[in-house]
Amino acid sequence: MGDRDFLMTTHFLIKKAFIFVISLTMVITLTFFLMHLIPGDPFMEEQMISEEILKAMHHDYGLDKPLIMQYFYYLKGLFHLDLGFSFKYQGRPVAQIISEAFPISFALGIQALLIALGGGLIGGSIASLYHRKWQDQAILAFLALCLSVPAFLSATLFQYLFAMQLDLFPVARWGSFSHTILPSLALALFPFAYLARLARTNIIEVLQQDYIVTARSKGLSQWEILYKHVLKNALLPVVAYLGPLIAAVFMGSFVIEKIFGIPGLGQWLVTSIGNRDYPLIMGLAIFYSFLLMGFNFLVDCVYYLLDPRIKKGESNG
Amino acid sequence: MGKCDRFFFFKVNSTLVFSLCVLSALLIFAIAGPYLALHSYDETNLAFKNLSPDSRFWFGTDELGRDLFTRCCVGARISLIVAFAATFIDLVLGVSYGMISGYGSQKMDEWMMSFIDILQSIPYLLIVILLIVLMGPGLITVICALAITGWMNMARIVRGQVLQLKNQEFVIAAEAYGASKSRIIIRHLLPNVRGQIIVVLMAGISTALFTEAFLSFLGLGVQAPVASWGTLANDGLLALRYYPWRIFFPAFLICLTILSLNLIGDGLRDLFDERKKI
Repeated sequence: MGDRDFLMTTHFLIKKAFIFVISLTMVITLTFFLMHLIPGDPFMEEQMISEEILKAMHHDYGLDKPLIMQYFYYLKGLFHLDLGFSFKYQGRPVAQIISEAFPISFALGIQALLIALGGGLIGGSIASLYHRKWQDQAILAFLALCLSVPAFLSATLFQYLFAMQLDLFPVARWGSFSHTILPSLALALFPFAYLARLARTNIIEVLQQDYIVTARSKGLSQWEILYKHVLKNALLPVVAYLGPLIAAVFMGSFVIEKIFGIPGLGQWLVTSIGNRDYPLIMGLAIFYSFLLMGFNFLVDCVYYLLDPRIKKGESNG
Repeated sequence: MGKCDRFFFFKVNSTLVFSLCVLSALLIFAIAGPYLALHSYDETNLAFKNLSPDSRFWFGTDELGRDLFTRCCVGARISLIVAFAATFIDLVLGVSYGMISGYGSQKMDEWMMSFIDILQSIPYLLIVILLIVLMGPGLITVICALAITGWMNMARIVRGQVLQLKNQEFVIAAEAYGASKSRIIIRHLLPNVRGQIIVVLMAGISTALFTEAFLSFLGLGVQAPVASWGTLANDGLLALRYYPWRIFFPAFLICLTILSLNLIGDGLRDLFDERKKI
């Protein structure tokens, strides 16, 4: 039995790792070729550059070689964690830009994630405890509202209300802790509402199971039941949602960083696309994909280990 | 059905009916609005710039003196066309993919699902952004970009349903009668998955609206003088401090539409899926 479990787990991990590698290769290839198809030249901007200088610059950055050669050079560099140099910000390695911008986006993302998770679980638990009472209805209405506001609008609303009108927080920029509050709240709003609804549905479903009735008949209080019996079972789908959740936070961060003027990865991505800064776009796309897919891989593994039902289901099918 | 259940059911339905009314009102607004308006959507008049709402300009004007009411109507058309067209492509692609995957051989199912696994693990937004930059922003581009990324969810759900259905008696009976595969799919499987499909469709439309607004915000949506709600909100954002109504109307319309779509989706799910009635 143990051997069989072990085999299944290895099989699962290998399959997931295989998908991870294929997807990453696809992202690298797709991004590379799509990006080079973008019309325009990275060096044609403000002033006209003479033919010779343009040629010299193309030669310098290897743009005069056939596309397929450029692709293999890029792959080779990638293995040494060398992402090339930015076209626009001359002399700055892409890896350096990423390593400077990442901690900012990471801090923002983690903070938003914690708010969403904490708020979502608490909101969901409260709503499920008052199932079908007015408190539940009120929370549900609020959540429906939160789910209908795009991130850039909630960010704007927060900025206008709390920073411009009430003057409670800084309007924009990045620095102290108070700078982080509004952006992370705006970023957390949608995932929070989604999680709260998910948690509520699951908790209510679990509350109707037989073992909860038993626990109730033992005389445990509502909160004790929730804490001891329900949460563990109701949290599994929440773990499964972590992957999309992280993706949502990342996607939101593009907009939020632009609105609040935060020098994170999202901001860089948006500007680099405008500048046709090939190495920077590629570096960011690959970094993002690696991060997101790596995280999804981890979530899948954790989920697999946590939920014995998946293993059972796989052996039946 | 207890008293509480019946009360709740009525409540769900009243929300559903109400949001359907709101959505129809929005559709009428999008279709008829420009004919009601006193100005054309791209008529500029610098003498009337940044006016607040009054009897002549119901939603005020923007920095070029264009009437915001008309622009919101035209924006509604664009936003809704993008959302519906993208979702329609999702529907066709996702349902056929899911049907074939679920009803085909197990080997094929495995391959088709692995393909979706791979596609879904790619952060789609990067691909969308690159595609739009590549093809040049515009209506068709946005629709394509939304469509190529949205169908996988539908395919997954349809396939899951078909897997459950295909071993049930009525399908086996049809097979025994010698019905062809396409007949079984169209006559027996499709009607049974209908509820699920509609629910996913509703979620798809609101996601498409969200993404369209998001892309417009990044400057990758439709280009001026045409406007969508997203681009209007983006324009209004720049003038937030002094002319807050310029962002209010498009923002309100976006939120209202998504809210009503979400509520319709929830209501329909409760109607179709007894188990989920919580």
